Amino acid sequence: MFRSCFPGVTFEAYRLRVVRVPSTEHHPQKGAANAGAGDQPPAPGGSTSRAFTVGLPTAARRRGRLVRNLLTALVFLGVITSSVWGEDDHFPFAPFRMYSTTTSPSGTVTMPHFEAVTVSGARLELETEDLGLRTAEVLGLMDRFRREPALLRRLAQTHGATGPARSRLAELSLVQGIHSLRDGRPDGYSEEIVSVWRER
Amino acid sequence: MAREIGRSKPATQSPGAVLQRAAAGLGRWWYPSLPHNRAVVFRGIIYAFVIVDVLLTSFAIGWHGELPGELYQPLLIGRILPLPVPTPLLLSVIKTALLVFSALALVRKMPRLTGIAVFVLYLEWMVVNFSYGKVDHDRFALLVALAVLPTVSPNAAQDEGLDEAAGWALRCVQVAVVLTYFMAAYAKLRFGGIEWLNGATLVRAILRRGTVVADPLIAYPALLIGAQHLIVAFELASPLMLAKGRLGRVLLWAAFAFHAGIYATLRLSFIPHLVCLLAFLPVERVRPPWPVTTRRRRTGRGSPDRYSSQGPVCQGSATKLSRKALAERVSTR
Repeated sequence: MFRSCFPGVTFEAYRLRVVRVPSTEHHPQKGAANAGAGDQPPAPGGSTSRAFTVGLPTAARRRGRLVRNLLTALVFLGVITSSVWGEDDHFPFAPFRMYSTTTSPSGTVTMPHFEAVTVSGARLELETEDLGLRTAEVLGLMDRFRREPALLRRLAQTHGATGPARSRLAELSLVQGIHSLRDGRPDGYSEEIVSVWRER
Repeated sequence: MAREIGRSKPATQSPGAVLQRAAAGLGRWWYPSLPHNRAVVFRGIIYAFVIVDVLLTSFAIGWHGELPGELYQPLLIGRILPLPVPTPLLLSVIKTALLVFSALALVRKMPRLTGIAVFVLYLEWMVVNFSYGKVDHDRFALLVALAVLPTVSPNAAQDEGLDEAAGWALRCVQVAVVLTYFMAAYAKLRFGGIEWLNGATLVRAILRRGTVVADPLIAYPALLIGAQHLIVAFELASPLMLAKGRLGRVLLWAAFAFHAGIYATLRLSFIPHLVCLLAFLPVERVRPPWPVTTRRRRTGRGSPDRYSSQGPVCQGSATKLSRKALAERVSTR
């Protein structure tokens, strides 16, 4: 028989859950969050249970607090330091930078996708997810794709094995859709081929 | 008006005494005496969520095993340790281990050991997730929760009492949630500059992943700029979530409303973060509906407080009773 994490509920005998809510004279109707040490409900069997840390010897309690204090200070310091000076590379102490960059109201918004040609000549337009990458990941890897078109060859091989079309690709291009903005409104669309790989 | 006479308080206190009082106050704040049950129920929610997350919300991480190894750009932690390049086999092993250990932690089987295992495995799961060119920050609070929950006492006998250690664990999650918002506002100023406020970041987000709710809004840039101001204002005000009383509650519900709006417009769920927002709520008062509600309905008692006036239904060795015997005992009351 396993206890679940939900107190008093077991997986085998959940109906036998002990309702240990005390009688009203011991437990005035009061929110548990506001309850002080003096109005704790009695433990099963009638005796009043004490706070866990109160029951511990002072030395053990102090040791526990010291370790917790050190861990708290370390994590807090790590987060603040990384937020001020750190980079994504420092995860799990990375800056909280989702959607933190600015797009100018008269700038551009890019949106990547892939275009492919199978060995049988069929043209495919693929979402980034079709090749196992999130859009944000492709944007993060854009410079590498531009520098190293051979990466597309490896993606094409993966797609041939597991992609939605399950067909061998003869050509794979990374294309960037570019929305131009004017006064914060979309004002035109164009496409740029970032990188191309063709089977020889 | 009556005034106390006799020995009066000194007008000024020594810096040492002030520091001591401040440290004591800080200690009380970091170690609130909260119901142990709250941490136990929250722990159950978190481990149940990890199972759901691995199977549903973050299943796409498993795709990374299929990707060419050249695309793997290990983060600093992955280079220091060093963590292996993800393969389909490795990710299947991590995924299976996460499911097994989360299930064990959920049923309180060796909760400290299994909890630590879940934390380590989930951290590696995230390192894999973020080693392909994009790091998200929506899982910081969940990682903190997984790190601190193994410190909550596994002793079920304490479930009904108050516990400073459990209070510390919940406080850590609350602070992690607040830091996620507050430092996100700081990151906007650091990386985007003050011009972020009047920029076209939401236009960019809508163009990339807008929903049918959001698409019409793109014609109103002033509205979106107003929303950007509101987002930063909310993030800067987020420490007030830690305030007691109405102010804290208003900010908490504002956070839920904020995420509902973000999901409706951009399909960004932030669900790992939302689960951690539950650390602010008295989750121990929510009873699992399947066993308890059925019995209460049968006995006509809806709330724990009404139940309490009848005294305990069964105590001590009650778990040894049969269902039939229990039903008889309940019906005689």
